[in-house]
Amino acid sequence: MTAAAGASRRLGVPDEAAAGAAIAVLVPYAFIALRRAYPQSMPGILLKSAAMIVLTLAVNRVADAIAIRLTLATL
Amino acid sequence: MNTVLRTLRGLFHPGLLTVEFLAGRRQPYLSPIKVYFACAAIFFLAAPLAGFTLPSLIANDTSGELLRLVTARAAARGLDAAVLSQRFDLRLPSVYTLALGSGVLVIALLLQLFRRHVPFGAHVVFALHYFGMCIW
Repeated sequence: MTAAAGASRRLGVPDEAAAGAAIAVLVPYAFIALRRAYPQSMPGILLKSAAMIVLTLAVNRVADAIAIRLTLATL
Repeated sequence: MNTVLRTLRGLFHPGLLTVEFLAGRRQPYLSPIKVYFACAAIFFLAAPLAGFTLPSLIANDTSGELLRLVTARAAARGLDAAVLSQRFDLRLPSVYTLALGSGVLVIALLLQLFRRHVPFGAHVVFALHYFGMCIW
């Protein structure tokens, strides 16, 4: 996610494209990691991967906003 | 050093470090919490290059809210904009890493919902490895 955000800022790529690139890496990563760590049926892994990606992006967005405000507040 | 390199290489094999840790093969790798902080350390180094700096964040904030917050904070603290920016850039990566760390618990709780018979600690291990990679 840092690499995607960095690339978008450095290369002037739209945020949406950077988010798309991050998702394109995260989806297979989460899928393979879950399949390896929690062996089970394909639909089960797909469901978990989807839920994990949605949560990861949400957490990242919230963490981003909180970090900026918290950093400013502690200066 | 070999342990660090082996662990970082292991991160590129999704789920491998988790499986190894849970199987008891822990010696060759960094512990999950160290993996997370090692990834955070790499993020600290890369953050300025990746545009995690105040001027860059302000430039990308189309709403103008961040600029308003920064201006208000600089006025309240009586700080010069350059000094505030410098301090912000130094502090942001560590605060961001801690904030993102809360995601570890969120993902572990999600996995616990799906796999109740697996101990919660195993989910935390998975989430630490997963979020370590996500920081990059």
